[in-house]
Amino acid sequence: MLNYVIRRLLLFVPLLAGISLAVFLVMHAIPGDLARMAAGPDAAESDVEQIRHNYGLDKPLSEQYVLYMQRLVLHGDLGDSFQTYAPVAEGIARTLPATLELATAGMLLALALGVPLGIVASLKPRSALDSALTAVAVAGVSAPGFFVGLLLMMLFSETLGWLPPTGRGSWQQLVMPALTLGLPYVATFSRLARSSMLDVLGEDYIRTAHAKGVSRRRVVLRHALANASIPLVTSFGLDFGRLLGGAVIVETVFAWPGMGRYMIDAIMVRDIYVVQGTILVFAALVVLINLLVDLAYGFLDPRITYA
Amino acid sequence: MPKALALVIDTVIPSPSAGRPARGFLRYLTAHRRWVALASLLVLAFITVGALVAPWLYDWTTVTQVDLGRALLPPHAGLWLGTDELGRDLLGRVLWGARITLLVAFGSVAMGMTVGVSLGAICGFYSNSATGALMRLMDFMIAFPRTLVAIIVVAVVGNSVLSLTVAIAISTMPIYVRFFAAPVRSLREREFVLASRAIGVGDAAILVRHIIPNVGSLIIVQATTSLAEAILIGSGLSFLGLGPPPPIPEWGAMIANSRAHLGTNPHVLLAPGCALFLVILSFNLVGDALRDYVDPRSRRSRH
Repeated sequence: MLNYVIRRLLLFVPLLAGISLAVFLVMHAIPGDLARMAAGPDAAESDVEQIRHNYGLDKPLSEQYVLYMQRLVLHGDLGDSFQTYAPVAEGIARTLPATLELATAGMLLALALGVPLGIVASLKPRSALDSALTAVAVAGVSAPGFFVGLLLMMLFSETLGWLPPTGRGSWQQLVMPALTLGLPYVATFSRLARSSMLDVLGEDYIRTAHAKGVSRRRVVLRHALANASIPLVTSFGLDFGRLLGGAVIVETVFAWPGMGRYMIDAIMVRDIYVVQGTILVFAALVVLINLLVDLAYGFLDPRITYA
Repeated sequence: MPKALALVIDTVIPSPSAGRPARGFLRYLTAHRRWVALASLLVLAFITVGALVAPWLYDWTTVTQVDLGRALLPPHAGLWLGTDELGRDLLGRVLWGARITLLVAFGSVAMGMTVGVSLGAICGFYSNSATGALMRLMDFMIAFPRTLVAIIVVAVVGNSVLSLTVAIAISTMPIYVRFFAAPVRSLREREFVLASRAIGVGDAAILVRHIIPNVGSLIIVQATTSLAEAILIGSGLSFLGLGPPPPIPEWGAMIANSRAHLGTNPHVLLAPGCALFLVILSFNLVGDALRDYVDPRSRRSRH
């Protein structure tokens, strides 16, 4: 088990190195003079040259990449922003907690609403609740997050005045962003919970449990749900990546000071070190979550071993 | 002699035909009382026609010219959806926006699918270390947020209708590779493929003439749901300010502009927002019905 974790973590290194190289090349493929864009339109030619030299933009591309990686590996330094001159690592440290808070809240909300709804639907397939849930699920995945977010804002902030429209700090400010982000996944999780519960409920061991007099509640919650949760966990791993993509948009709607917004603002002004750094962190998050998901299988199904 | 032999083999071992005519789909929908899917088809037809005739109903200057004298008018006769913050007719902009949305959606799905289905067919047909590595790369790209991939592409190629299309195509392409590799792999072992191989048909001809046609129905189902996703990603990028530049009427950008007027003029949000939601919803519902139509197995699991 420990060996498995170590081996998987070691695989991170070439993966992240590959991503960093790809992003580095892509960012430098952007047409236009980076030093001039960093200096601003009215900067003197000497200032532009100074910036070009300070950021090492006058060196060959291969040397720039080696230098970037050296600083990253040896000092954990992701370079400085062209715009604010602040270290990128600082910007990420400032914005990442906000994004994680939003993503976690959105996921928990989706699980807390979606899984119970799916279980109830699976116990009474083809009931009115079941078909209503299917309808809501399609609507949930079809509604763009920014439209839902603005509708919520229109209702709860502008009309009713219950919740503050933007910002981060209080729990009231987290409600609408988390709801907007989690809504499509309520649909995904309820559908998935329903179908995997329906699969499991038809198994022999469930009938055995009923036959030996185990209460219905216990059969559903202990015997069936334990096995039905494996597809849910798989989907959780894949959905978490998509959720991070959605977070970029939700952060924009609610002026949530997260890493997605930090990245978009940097893309607009071609602030390449910020873009590179944030993408690397997003990639690391995705890879890490998938590792945790693989490990979770072992707890849910003791038959799975890690060789 | 191989030609005659091929003819004989084709008659003895017919290749499984998976495609059913479109007329059958309409009949299937009415026979099974799938009214919701039928209504969705109608909505899509309506919006497509609207997009096609938009230039004859509203010329380009009407939907782009600023006229602050009639800014933020509520919907009324003549201006059925009212005007936006710059005094432009919202119905005209929503119709022109449908042109952009459908153009980007169909363009990106066509582009992404052409590359994705080809790569998927190759990965499924040949299994070696190169295609294995390619599949790994696709797996990683699928785990990575698609919106982020699309954002990075737009950052490089700039913002225009074409670059938005390319960005969506690149970000969704890995799904097609993954989705089509598996059925191709199982088709590879079927009798009609082995028979073609036995009479000396080349790999390329087998792929193009025998394998691809047999995943045709899968392609159509996947394309329909992909259109919904392409519209979702495209309007999202546009909302973030990474879409075609103003004054091009794009639904995502129109929704972004409505933000300042939420409390006072909800119609500025609702006009493009409802159009967007309705189109995505319709593509998803038609896609679901198509899946049930071509794959009877999924139809059974539904009930």
